[in-house]
Amino acid sequence: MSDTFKLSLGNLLQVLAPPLIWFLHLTTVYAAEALICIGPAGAAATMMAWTIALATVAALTALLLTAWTLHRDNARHPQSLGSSRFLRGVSHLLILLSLLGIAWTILPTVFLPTCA
Amino acid sequence: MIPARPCWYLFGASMLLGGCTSDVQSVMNPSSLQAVQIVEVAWFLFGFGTFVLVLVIVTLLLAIRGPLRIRQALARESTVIWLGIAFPAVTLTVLLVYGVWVMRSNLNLPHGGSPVSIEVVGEQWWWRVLYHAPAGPQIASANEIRIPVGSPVTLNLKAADVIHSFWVPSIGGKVDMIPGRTTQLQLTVDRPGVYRGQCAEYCGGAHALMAMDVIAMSSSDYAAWLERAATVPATPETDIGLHGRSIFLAAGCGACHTVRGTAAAGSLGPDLTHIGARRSVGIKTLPLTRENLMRFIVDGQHVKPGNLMPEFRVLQPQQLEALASYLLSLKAAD
Amino acid sequence: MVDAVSYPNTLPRPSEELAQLEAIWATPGGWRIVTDVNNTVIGLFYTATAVLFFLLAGILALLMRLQLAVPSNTFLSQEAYNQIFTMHGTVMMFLFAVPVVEAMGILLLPQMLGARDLPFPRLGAYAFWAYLVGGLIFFGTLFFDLAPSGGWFMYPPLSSSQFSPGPGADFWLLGIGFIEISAIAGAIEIIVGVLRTRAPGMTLDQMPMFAWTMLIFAGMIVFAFPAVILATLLLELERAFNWPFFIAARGGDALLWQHLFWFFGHPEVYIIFLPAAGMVSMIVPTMCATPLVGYRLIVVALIATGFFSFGLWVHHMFTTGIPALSLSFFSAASMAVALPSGIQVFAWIATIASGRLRWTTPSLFVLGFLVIFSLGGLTGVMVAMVPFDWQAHDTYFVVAHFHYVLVGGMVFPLFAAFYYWAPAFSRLALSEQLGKWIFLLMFAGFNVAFFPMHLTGLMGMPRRVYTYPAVMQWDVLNMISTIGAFLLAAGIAIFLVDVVRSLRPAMSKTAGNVWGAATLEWLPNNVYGLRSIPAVTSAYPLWHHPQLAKEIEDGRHFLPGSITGLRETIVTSPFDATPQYLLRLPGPGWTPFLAAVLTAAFFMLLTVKAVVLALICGLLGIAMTVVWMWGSDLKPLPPVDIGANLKLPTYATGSLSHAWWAMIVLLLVAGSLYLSYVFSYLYLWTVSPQVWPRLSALAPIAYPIVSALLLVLGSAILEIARRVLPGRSRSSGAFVGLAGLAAAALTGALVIDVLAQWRAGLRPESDAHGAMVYMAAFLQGQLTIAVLAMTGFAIARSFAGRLDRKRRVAFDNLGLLYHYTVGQGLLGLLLVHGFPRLAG
Repeated sequence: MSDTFKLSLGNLLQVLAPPLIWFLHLTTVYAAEALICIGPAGAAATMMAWTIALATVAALTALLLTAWTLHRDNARHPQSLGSSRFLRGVSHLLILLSLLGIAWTILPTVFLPTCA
Repeated sequence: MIPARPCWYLFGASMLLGGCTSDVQSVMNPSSLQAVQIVEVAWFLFGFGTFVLVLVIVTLLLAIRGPLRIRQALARESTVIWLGIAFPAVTLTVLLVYGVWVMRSNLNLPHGGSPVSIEVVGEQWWWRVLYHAPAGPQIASANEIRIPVGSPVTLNLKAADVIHSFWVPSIGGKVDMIPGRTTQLQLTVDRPGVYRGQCAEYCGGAHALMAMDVIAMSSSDYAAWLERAATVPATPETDIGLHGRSIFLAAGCGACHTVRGTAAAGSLGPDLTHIGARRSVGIKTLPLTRENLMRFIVDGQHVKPGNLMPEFRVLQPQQLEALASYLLSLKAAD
Repeated sequence: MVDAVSYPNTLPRPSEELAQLEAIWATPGGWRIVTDVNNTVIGLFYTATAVLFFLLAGILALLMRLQLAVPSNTFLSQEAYNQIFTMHGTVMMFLFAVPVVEAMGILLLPQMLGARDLPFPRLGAYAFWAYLVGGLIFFGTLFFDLAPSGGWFMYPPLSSSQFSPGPGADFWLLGIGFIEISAIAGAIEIIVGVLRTRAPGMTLDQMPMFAWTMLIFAGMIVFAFPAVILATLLLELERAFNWPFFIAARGGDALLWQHLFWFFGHPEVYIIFLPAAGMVSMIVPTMCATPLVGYRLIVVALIATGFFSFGLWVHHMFTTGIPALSLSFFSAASMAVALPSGIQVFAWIATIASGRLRWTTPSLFVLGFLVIFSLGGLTGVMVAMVPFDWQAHDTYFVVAHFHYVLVGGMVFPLFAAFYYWAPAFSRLALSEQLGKWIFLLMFAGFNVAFFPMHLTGLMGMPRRVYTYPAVMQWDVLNMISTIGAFLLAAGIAIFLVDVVRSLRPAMSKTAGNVWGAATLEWLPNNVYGLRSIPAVTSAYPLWHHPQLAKEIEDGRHFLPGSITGLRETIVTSPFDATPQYLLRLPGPGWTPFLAAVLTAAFFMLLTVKAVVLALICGLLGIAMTVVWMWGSDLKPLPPVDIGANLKLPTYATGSLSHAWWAMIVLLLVAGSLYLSYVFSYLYLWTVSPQVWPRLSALAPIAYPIVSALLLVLGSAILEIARRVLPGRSRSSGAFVGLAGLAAAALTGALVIDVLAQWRAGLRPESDAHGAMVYMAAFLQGQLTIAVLAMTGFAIARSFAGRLDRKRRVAFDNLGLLYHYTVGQGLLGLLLVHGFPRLAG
């Protein structure tokens, strides 16, 4: 594999990461709700709150990391043109959209009880 | 019990549905706390949708033939960000919070106290209704659900064969009936009346005909009805009635149908203990009259194609007549 | 790469160069045209077939509208109506919407990207013929009263053998499974085509937007279709062999189907919509004579849609009694997916504002699309609101909603595309005068037909009812809908008249760039694409380089003829489109056509339980595929000069090879199929933990350990085999032995696992757990068979001197599949042996 191929692969991952993080966050909290609600009723709300908090912190960290790699690459290859630069721009915006998506996912937990 | 409804929405309703509105099974004519809540959401959404659609069309027209200044402003990438990202982000957040808030208040509606609990089982293609009274026999009926107004009612929904969906629009949203599961619907109906509903999940064959009535009555009427429904119908007093009963038992009707107090104890088809007091025959396809009853017995496959009951064409006209008389006599003594 | 004065190739070109190029790419005449594999020929056939299915399913819609026009109508019987609405939905979704988009991709992409053809022409031909034959047979069941009647989403238990005993549901399952496979074949072709056969220098930010949408379309197919393929497999196994995946009494669950089906079904809507949006993104800049505003924003929107649409499947299950909080997660995801559509709509509006819109037929269809699709999107936001959906779900409100989204979002852009691109493929353009009438009829007819359905839905009319009593008072609105449907049909009928009058498909000397468009498909094209392939330096090459057409015709740019005497195209790097090697493409041949017909026969004969005949057809089909593959992977030639002293190799291995990319995509399909399986296993456990065995009832742990060791050993042996590939100084003996051993290890691991489960007393029919365990073996078995076949193929090639250290793509691909199969096998062992120990 050539270096340019590896760089391109990095670009690809940067583009795919944000929405993938959103997807994993969504499926995690959904699966957690499904699993926790099978168990004893008493602990459900606390367990759910913790799961959502942990999943959200993990997702935000991963998004931040992606953003950091974008800035690093921009600093390293300030002159790069064409696909790489373009994909980095795309990745930036996808991070924003994914953040909004994650915010929307956790919003209902403020209002709704677990397992009702 | 009945919340005040803003008059703009009544006005809007008549504007939108004017002329062709039908209240027989309408979402927009709510009679329970739950359905009222949803109608409010609906009007909010219609207003929102109209606003955004008008916005898109006006922007589009301006983009095509608007003044140059406006077109230049619209052509900027930042406009795409404002109108395409920022505006939806804000409005959709509002919508999401509103939707979730309505779900929460739906959960918070009263369903404690002494809830009336009724089991409804969806079957191809009719509704089995079971009242679990605290004392006395289990009362079974079909395609008619009687409930008291003003107090919370819990419907426990099951399916005997395929997936069905319980839906009576005027008193609430639909809930699926899924084999192997029990789902629940909570209702607090606020006005006595007869509310029509029908199966909302395609269940094969005669899905289109799988309708029912929910009959909401005052709680005292309901209690009285429940008491009557628990009784065993009296033995027919007329000859024709007695003749009908012997035909009923001899023709094998009891293999599938139950009439409490007789040897007929089948459970495949609807319980007929008080069929004489019901409103229809062949799930809502026909009003309950002597002619329709006889027609269903000999020609059921035309009334409700694919239903499980064989057509009893062997019965002679006078036998059929007697059978119908017997069935119509099956009701609680007043 | 190319400055204005120096061109890759000098003039004059040798006199015989063009004649030779034309001879090599000549379309076979007469009935032999079925042997052709060229993308233009296949693309035109493909599009025409998809339009045929659109018309057929449209006729079914008209029959339904006639039935519903008046209450208690007896025009159609209950059973006929149920079959017809099932077929209408199924045919529109599976035989029209996805194929027509794929067809447009196959037709347009090479021309747009400056390639001579797609990288796997025979695969494209196979996908088309499989679809045509399978689709016609499937539609034909309607005439024999054998059509499925369970609705296009075929919910069990209604579709189970108990409640649908006839062969209708089997036709649906096998027919659809088969068409899905054809769609995946097309998707692989499109992904590799877009990423590896772009003109030199066409970076991702200069790629035509339609190519972006097709790339994401194909990517979504790779991840969405496996879920429904698994679902159809499970249901067919349940129907045929009584494995209770969906039967509640034995621990199965009807909702498992809904999860799998909608994990496919919701992305499906966007799979259909995105390419249509791509067409709009091509048409709007041309009609406004201005570049697209917000190119990058649109790409962001496309990628976001691609992902967000996978988080919506529970959106279709709001009424199944799932907890409120879970529902609200999916309500939130439904909001998220509305954002990218907003971006696209306003980007198109901005583009219109930045130019001057010409009132052409394509423009009108685009405007109609914008209005109808916006309304459909807004009702989509409404049904994403959980409480409202409790009422609207499964009513005519939803019928109205998804027709606004699908007809507005896909059919209108498609008609715009027909009018827009016809001049590129026909000697005459379609009629602008008729086109405007057609638009008016279709736009008015559509709204008259479908807007009232919002109201009938709110008035309580459920979908999928074959009749309704007069007392419901739905008759006036239904009559209006029926009138609208016939108006819409009249528009489409006039379109057919226009097609007959004006469409004269041609490989060359077409009407050409009548719109003043800017992308490569508007250059003078022939069946081989462009005479010579330019280096691309802008997203709108024809606007920036007005004399391009002449230069290309003269042969000044890259690859002005055929160097090797075969059909060829340039393979470029996936991101910056640097030329990497010259790919020699196959010409016409019988194998794709015959293999497709035989595969279709295999599936359909299986449905009617003619097992022996089916097996014969299946084996013959495999034989055809072997013959076809035997001729691929051509012998490496010395590097060739395509112009500008650019020496390209004629052979590539590893990640450079287009075949490697295709295999990776195929493995992604297999991987997402297996993940769907893992989900199903765990899901059924959450529903029915009581049927999962106690520790004492499990197969002894020694068995899976031996299986796992065999798998790992197999991988190691295959790697050693890689090192002893036959070469100049080495015969094929050691290689053959090791490859055979590796295949045996893989088979052994599977056999041991199945024996262990059987001896532990586990049976697939007994309960959902048993069925799921044997399902893992079934999926592993499928791959093992494929590995065995490929090993045999590699061994045969090594004997024939067609596989050696240099010419080794056949082995590389076997290696990829083998290691993937080992990985999947290990995961499977961990799941079926480990999970019960963990959970028990």
